[in-house]
Amino acid sequence: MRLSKHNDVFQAADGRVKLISTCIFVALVTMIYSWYNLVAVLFIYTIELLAMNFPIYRHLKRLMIPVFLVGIMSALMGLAAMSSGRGMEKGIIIFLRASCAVYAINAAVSSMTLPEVLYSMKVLRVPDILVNLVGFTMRYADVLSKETARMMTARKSKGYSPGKNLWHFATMKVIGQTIGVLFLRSYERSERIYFSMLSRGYTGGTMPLRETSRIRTADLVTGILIVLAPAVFKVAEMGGISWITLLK
Amino acid sequence: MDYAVEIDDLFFHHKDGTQALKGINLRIMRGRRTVILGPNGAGKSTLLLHLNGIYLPQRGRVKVLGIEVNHKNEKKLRKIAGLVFQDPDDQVFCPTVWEDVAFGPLNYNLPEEEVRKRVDEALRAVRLEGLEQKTPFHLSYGQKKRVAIAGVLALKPEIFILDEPHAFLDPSGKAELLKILNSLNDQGSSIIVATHDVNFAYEWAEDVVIMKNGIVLAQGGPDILADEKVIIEAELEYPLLVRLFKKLPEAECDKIPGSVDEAAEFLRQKMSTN
Ligand SMILES: Nc1ncnc2c1ncn2[C@@H]1O[C@H](COP(=O)(O)OP(=O)(O)OP(=O)(O)O)[C@@H](O)[C@H]1O
Ligand SMILES: [Mg+2]
Repeated sequence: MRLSKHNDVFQAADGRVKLISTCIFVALVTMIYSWYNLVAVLFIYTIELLAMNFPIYRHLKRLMIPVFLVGIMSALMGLAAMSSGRGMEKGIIIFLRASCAVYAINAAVSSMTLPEVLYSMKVLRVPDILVNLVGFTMRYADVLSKETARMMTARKSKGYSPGKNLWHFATMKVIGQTIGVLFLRSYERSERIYFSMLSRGYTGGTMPLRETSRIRTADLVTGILIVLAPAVFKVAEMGGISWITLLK
Repeated sequence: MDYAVEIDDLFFHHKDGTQALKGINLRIMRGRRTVILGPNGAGKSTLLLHLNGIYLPQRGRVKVLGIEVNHKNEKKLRKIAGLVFQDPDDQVFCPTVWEDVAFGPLNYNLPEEEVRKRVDEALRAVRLEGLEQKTPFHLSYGQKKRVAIAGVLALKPEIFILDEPHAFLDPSGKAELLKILNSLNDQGSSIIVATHDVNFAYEWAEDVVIMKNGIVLAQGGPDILADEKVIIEAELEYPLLVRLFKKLPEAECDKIPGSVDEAAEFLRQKMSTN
């Protein structure tokens, strides 16, 4: 789950603070109406993360698929709003808002271990059912990626090499089968993992103990930094201030 | 009689319809070393998952230390019966070795000091000291197996159940596991091991249960592994000692020795009398 270990201020910050500020970040971002403010938020948040030694490159790589999905969804919603004549703009704004949200959530979550995420949610009084849901989803994603790796190795060792392009029939067939079997295998493995958790007394309620660490100033600073960019731009927007006119 | 496990007429089919258990009748004595032997697909793993209430009997009944396995008693049973899964990848899922071993004790809300003590002891027992902070996914298979075993050791269950514990352990790992199991047994724990390893069963077990196709074919002392009918029917092979002494009728031994030490002693005496 964790991206790096050394000297990463962002990562070292308290999970609870990161979760709360990220939620505020997301809420603020969904209330920003202009595309240029959203772009500015993304830009500034990236700089902040870099300043806090967060391994941004690996973070970006992990974002490709979710952002792609967000893109498709926004395009669809933009199309739906086409009749109003402002479909394009709507689509772009939805896309930017969603990207900001995915960006911040992913940064926060990938800087914590799974137990940290779950623990933080728990102390923030998120209902058990949600905490467990998140726990299982993340564990499932982990299982899924490991099973994929295993199956690819198995196929390669049996002499399979993918064709040059997706239209290559045999390749398509293998990919199709892989995905099918993958879901089945991951489902079964997740079930067995769940059984083994139950075997060791897991009841869904209890969560690994860790010292309830005090929230330090550094944590608060990180939290403020996280919400800073969207807050500033939201306030500016409300006051009718627009920095983009300065550029013109 | 004091039984660790009592099973009457147990049936179980998996979700896809596979009938894995077809009428198991079995008694396992408390405080003993029991080995369940059987070929692949015999139903050993399915049976073991009944012993701590992960699977509930679909027909028939199972009692563990006199407690009936049913929905109501699940939690109690999981404290009594600790199960090491066949595949460590199913069992080891925490980000660090330490956290994984601590997972069970933490679930039972033990005080932190006790948790730390138990985790340290368990890791020492399986010789993984120094790897506490490693990610289990990067360990070798045998090391993962040790983490899985430590995770159950830390629970200190009264009945210790291991599914195929020897797979992937190196010779010293096997020897250490044996030591651990013996010391648990000496302290009064019942130990149940499912395996295909006839040599291990022959030399270590006090009771042997032979399964095939979802039923119990035979049960008795390790000497049932010298019974030709049982071995052929169960698709197993003779233990090495049995094979050796079956080839040496001239040794005139009425009862095949139960361990290498006994065999050596027996042969030494033979040689000195001749
Ligand atoms: N989750 C499952 N879904 C469907 N069928 C299953 C499942 N698990 C096991 N089976 C089937 O149930 C039967 C008994 O399996 P089980 O795993 O209990 O055997 P085993 O004695 O442990 O074998 P092995 O020595 O290979 O571990 C087999 O026919 C197997 O294919
Ligand atoms: Mg098995």
